[in-house]
Amino acid sequence: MNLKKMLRVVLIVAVSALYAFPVLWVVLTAFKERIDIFTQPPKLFFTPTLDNFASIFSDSASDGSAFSSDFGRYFLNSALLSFGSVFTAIVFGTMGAYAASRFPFKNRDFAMFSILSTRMLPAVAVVIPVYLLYRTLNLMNTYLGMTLLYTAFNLPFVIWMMRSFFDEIPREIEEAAMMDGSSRFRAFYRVALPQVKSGIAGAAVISLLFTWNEFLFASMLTGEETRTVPIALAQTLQGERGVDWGKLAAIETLYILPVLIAAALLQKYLLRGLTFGTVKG
Amino acid sequence: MAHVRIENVHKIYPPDTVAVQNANIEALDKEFLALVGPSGCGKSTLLRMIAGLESVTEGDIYIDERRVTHVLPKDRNIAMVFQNYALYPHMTVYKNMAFGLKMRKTPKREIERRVKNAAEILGIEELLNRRPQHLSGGERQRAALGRAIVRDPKVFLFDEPLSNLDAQLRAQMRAELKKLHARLEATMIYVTHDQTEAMTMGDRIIVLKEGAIQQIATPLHLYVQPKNRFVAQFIGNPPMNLIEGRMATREQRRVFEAPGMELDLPRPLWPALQAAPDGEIVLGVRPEHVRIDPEFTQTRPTARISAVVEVVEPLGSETLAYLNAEGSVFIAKMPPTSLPRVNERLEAAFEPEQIHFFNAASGESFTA
Repeated sequence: MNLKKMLRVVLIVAVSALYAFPVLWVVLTAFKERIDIFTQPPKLFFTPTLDNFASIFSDSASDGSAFSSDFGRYFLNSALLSFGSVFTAIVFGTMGAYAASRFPFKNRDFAMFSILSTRMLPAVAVVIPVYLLYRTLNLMNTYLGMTLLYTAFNLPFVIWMMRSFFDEIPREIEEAAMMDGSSRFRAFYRVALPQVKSGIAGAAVISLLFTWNEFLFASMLTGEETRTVPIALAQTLQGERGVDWGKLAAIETLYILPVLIAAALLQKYLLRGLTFGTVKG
Repeated sequence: MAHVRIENVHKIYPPDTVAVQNANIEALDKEFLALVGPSGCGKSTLLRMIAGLESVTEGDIYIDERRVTHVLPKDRNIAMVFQNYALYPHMTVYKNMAFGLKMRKTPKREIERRVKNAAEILGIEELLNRRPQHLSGGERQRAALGRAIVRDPKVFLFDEPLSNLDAQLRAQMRAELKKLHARLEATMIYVTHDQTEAMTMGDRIIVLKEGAIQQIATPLHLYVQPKNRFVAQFIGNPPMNLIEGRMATREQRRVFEAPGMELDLPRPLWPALQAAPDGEIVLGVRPEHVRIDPEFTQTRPTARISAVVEVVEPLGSETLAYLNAEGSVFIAKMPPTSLPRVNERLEAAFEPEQIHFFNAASGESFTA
């Protein structure tokens, strides 16, 4: 290994460590007993415990600190809202993107710009109108309302991202499928879609991250039944007898896991280009 | 098999781009029809309208007397081979070929038999389990052909299928396509910008320019009797020499007058030539009809042209010489053994029965 290569490795390790350290710290904390959490200097080696994790799903807090919680339900809520809205956004967004890529309908550019413009305002500016709208429509604290909201947030992104993917695949391939006896929809489904798998995977993971971690709207619009984990997490910080860091870390650790797994599973597709080399002469 | 008829078809892209105007074409049963023209002449649009991939603004398309103007591509029973092959990248060659049959709910056994059969015809049995990205250009071309022929369609459409191949492979595939056409006895419509492909493969050729049909004829007829200046120059390599000049009167004679030359105009043409505005006409002569051998030029003392050799291109099978007669430039094709020297002055003459005259304004031929 020459010097340049070694330097590069050192740099990569250093940067990774910098990014990974807070996560590592949280994960370590999740396995520590209360005593170990506060020890100075911090302990890197300790006897791990699962008490913090156990406490998440039992109603009483591990050390009697003041929150009783139903984190099982919050996890389920987060999962339902995230997967529901991402799935809906991907289904409709992909079809919309295909239409935008293939059919030169009237005012297409304006339509595409309008779609994007819905994301131009900062969330804070939108939250009050949405709040009022949801109150009037009785969508506060409902799964439907939250799924719709997150779908609406993810759609513009999915449409724009998927459109660029569709633009890159030659339309002759779908035309060949149509000559071969497929309908337009079938050509889309059987021939175009398989070629943009990597795009779908990428769009899904990014949308999922956004929805999974969304805080502002969830804090305003969810109630006890639809509360998501980030909101519940924030509420644990308001305990009467201090913060239960162990439990907090355990929740976070669990909360990171699904996203990590999703990213790992889709990594093959995230490496754009693997399935994306369309046939050229 | 089938025949295709196109009646008064127009294609206008909004707001007012005319891609095809008033096309009337008939592809006969088992015919190999070549559509040729420079890029942007509307030949691909025409083909895509036959395929159903492009809507028809006006007019009608019939396949076997069935009006298909508004029929979906999938219901026309036509196969098309695209310039970029358009193979399904996520499927093996076998699946690419089987796709159309599967869409039409052909039994599995039958699919297998037909794919095997087509693969054998094209010599691609070894490639059936490969994906398109692992094939060479020529192999992809064959796979795309295979996908078309397994379906046994009524009509085959080709959209510049050989343009992405190198010259050697192109010549080879040209011959193979011709053999395939003979073997399948199918109606084929073939779009190309390459006049060589059109000439070598087409039973008949349609020459298009700016959306308008210029001439429909057999290859030799096109070559010998081009209807206008455009066809004359488009067909043939090197192209026909065109020399701009005017008609003049010399006592009892009518002559063609251009820099460096004065040639008698044949008497039968005189009345027609009157139609040329201001007497401006264009003389056309193919390079092989420009003679510099003394045996020929000696016999034509009044039609001799004194010209200077500017460039000599020995091609092995023949030699091309670029001649300049005081500003009138033309190419002469001669036997490989005769190698004039650059800057040499020599006498040239045109074979009189092979000369064409065109209206300088409209481009229409006076001789065809």
